[in-house]
Amino acid sequence: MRPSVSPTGVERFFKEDEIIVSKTDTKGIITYANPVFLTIAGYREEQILGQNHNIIRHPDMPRCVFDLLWKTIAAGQEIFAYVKNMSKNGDHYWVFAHVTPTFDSEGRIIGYHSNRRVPDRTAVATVDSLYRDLLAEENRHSDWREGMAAGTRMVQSVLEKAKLSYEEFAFAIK
Amino acid sequence: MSHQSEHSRAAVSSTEDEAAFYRHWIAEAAQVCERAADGDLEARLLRVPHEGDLARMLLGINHLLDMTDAFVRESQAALHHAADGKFFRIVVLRGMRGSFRHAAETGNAATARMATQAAALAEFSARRSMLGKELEGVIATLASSATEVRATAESLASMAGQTTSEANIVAAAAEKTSGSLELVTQTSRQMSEAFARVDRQTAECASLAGEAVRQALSASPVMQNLADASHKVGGVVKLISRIAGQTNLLALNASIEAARSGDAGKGFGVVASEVKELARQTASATDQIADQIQKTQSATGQVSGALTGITTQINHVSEISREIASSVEQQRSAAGDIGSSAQQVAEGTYEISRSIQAVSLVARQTSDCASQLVFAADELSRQSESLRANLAHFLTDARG
Repeated sequence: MRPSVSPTGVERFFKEDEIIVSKTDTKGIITYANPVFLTIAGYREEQILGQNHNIIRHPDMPRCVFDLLWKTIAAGQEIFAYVKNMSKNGDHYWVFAHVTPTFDSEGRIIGYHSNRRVPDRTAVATVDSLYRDLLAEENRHSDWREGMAAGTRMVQSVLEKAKLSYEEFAFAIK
Repeated sequence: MSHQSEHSRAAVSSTEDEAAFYRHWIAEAAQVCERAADGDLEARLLRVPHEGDLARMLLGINHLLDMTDAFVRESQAALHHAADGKFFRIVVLRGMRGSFRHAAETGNAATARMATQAAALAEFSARRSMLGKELEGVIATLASSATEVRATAESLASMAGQTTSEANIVAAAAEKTSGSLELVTQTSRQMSEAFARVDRQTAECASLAGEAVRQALSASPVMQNLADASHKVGGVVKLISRIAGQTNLLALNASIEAARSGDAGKGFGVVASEVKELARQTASATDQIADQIQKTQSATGQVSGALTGITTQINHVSEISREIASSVEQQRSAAGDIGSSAQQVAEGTYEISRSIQAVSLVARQTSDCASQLVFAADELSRQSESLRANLAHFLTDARG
C-alpha cells in the first residue's frame, strides 16, 4: 500500500507545543488523525483514514524498531520511540512517539494511540546515527527476517553496553 | 457515517439544508462530548468541515480530547511506572499546555520526590537489613552463649554438689582421723614412757652387772693370793711335817739313849717322850692343816671357776642389757617419731578440716551462684528468643 515516492531529503517540522495524534485499530489501520498529523504528513483526512499506519513509514527506518514497537504495544505496554516519518511528497519529519494500547472496559486491546512530540535535536542526531547502523546491519542480510533479527541483536548489544532497559534508553537519549 | 461525509462535502444550498447540517454536527458533537464525559476518550469527530465557527468548534472538541487523552495516558503510564519504582518514566512535558502542563509538572515533581525517598528508603532498608543480619548474628551468638552458660552453670552446680559431698566425706574422714591420731599420740606417749622406764631399768641392770663383774674380777686376785698362800702354807706344812718326823726320830733316839743311860738318863727319857709326843701332835696337826689346805685349794679352785662362770654370765647379761637398751632406744625414738608425726598429722588434719569447711562454704556459694546463673541463662535464652522473634517480625514488616 506504500506510495512509490522517493525521499526528498527535506525535513519538515512541527511546533514545540503541538502534538501529532493518531489512532489505529488493532491491525494498524488509521481511525483518527489530528490536523497536525494531516498537515505535516501532507494528507487530507479522507486520504489517511482507513490506511495502514505504515503509509508514513520512511525507508531509512530499520525494521527492528517497528518490530519492537508492535511487539511491545501488542503486549499491552506503552513504548517511546524516535521515528523518522515520511510525508506524502517524500519529505521527512522526526518525532518522539509515545504509543499506547487502548483497552475496553474488560481490559482487551481495542486499538492503539500515538502521541508524537517534537524530538530533541541532539537525540535525533544520536538516533539517526544508530538507525543508520541498524539499517546497514539489516541490509547485510538478503532475507528481511534475518536482517530484522540481526538489527534486534544489535539494539540488544547497545542496551547491554549502556546497561539500560529500552525504556530507560529511550528516556536517557534525550 | 456515509451521510456524515455527505454533509461535510455537500454544498450548503438552502437554509433548510444549512439547519439540517448544523443539527447533524451539533448532535455528533453532543454524542462525542457525552462519551468523553463518561470517560470514553476514544471518540472523535471525523471528516468535519474545514472552515467556519462550526469547524473551529468541532476541531476544538477533538483537540481538547487529544490533549486530555494524551494527559491521561501519560499520567497513567508515569504513575504506573512510579508504582513499579521506575521513576525515570515521567510525563513528557513537551506539547503539554496550561493546566495540563502544570499538573504534569506537579506529577513529575512528586515522582522525583518519590524517587529520592525510594532511594533513601532502599538505602535505609538495606542498612536495616544489614543491621538486622548483624543483630540476628548477635542474637544467635547470645542464644548460643546463653546455652553454653547454662550448660556451664549446670556442670558447675553439679561439680559444686559433688565437691560438697566429697568435702563432707573428707570432713568426716578428717574427724575420724583426728580421733585416731589422738589415740596414736596418746599411745605413743605411753609407749615412750614405758620405753623410758625400761631404759632406766636396763641401765640400772647394766650398771649392776658391771659392778658384779668388777667385784668378781676383783675377787680373782684374792683367790689367786689365797691359792698361792695355801700353796706356800702347804710347803711350810711339809717342812713342819718333815721336821716333826725328824723330831720323832730324834726323840726315839733320845729315848733309846736315855734308856741306856739308865737313871741318869731317866729324866732325859721323860723329855724325849715329851718331845716324841709333841712330834706326834705336830705331825697330826700338820696333817690336819694339809688336809685343810687341800680342802681350801680345792674350794679356791671351785670359787675361781665359779667366778669365771659368773663373770662370763654377767658379761653376757651386760651384753644383752646393752642390746636391750639400744633396742629400747630405737623403739623409744621410733615411738617419739610416731608421736611427733602423729602430732604433725593431727595438725595437718585440723588444717584439712578447716580448709574443707571453707571448701564446703565455697561449694555451697558456687552452687547458689550456679543456680542463679542457670536462671539467668534461661532468662537470657528467653530474651534472645523473643528478640529474635521480634526482629524477624520487624524485618518481615520492613521487607513487606
